[in-house]
Amino acid sequence: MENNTTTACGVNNGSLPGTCAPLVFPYVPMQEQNPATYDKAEALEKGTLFPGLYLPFFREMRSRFRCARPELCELMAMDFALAELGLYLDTHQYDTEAFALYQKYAALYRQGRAAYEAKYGPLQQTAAAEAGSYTWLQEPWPWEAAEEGGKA
Amino acid sequence: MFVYEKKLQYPVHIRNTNPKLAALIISQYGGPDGELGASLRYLSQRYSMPYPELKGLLTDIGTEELGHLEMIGTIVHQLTRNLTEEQTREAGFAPYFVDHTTGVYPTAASGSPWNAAGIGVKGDTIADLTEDLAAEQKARVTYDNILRMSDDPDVNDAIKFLRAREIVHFQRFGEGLRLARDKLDEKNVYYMNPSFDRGQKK
Repeated sequence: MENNTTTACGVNNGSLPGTCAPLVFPYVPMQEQNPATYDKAEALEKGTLFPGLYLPFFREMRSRFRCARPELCELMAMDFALAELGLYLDTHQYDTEAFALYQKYAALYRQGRAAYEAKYGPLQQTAAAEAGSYTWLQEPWPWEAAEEGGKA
Repeated sequence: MFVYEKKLQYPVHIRNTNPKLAALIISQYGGPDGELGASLRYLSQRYSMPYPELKGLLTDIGTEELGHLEMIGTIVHQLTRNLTEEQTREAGFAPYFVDHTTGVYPTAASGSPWNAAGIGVKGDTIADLTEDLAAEQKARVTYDNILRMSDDPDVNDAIKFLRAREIVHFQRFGEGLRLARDKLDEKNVYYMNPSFDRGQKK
């Protein structure tokens, strides 16, 4: 058998005795740059912004996306698109198109959030300072069911 | 630091109480592959990570997991609200009820309380990211199993969302491992531990 030295083995090949074998290493291919995306409402419903990563389980039943307060769900969808793009950009920081989309959603989120808080009250405690009185405790908490006066 | 947002990441609206199902879903609150462990694993691994991409990824996924913890807590809370006395005695829920009433406590469905033994922080870039890949798969399987056992569409709607996130996180951790590998010695990725041997050249 040919005696392969380490240098004779190509890049990413290890130096197992007597052979050049690809080095054992967990392999997940990088998602391609500028990937296709769902619109933000569909992304929230599917749990991902990227059609390529939408891989449902066979036992999932069809169920209706429930939204008691549409303005809140709109805000959740913008926030979700931002979070999803944020993770994508952590590993694809030079994808300028994804970053442009990130900027677009960030601007939309800032506006949507201000409009929501003006109508319903603070999402963060400090936003209560904008209101005439301490409104942080007035809106229901996120875990409260609609039947208990919740807003989910 | 962390700032609280008074909203969930995804809406949870459960119409029917079902304490038995709550006693299974609590596993994703405090079980071995649950959201509490996920968040603490990633937020704790950050400190020894050598590269900006990995510090960012662990911070951002670790933070998202806290939001998932809140979603699971919400599901458990809504499944156990306004229980009748008869429902508190239901097989499957009674042992939880005697210890915690309808409080949300981090425990596995199989009964053991949340335990840091279920997470790993090894202080080695390859070992920690490989653990994270496995952790996302284990959480995905737990959500698969909940979907097998639950026939409540309101619950399954939120569980489907959480399951989908595990797949995205697996992808990102895999990419993080690829980015780390590109910075290591091509022929011997184990030449040093970049989390610890900071001054060492590849």
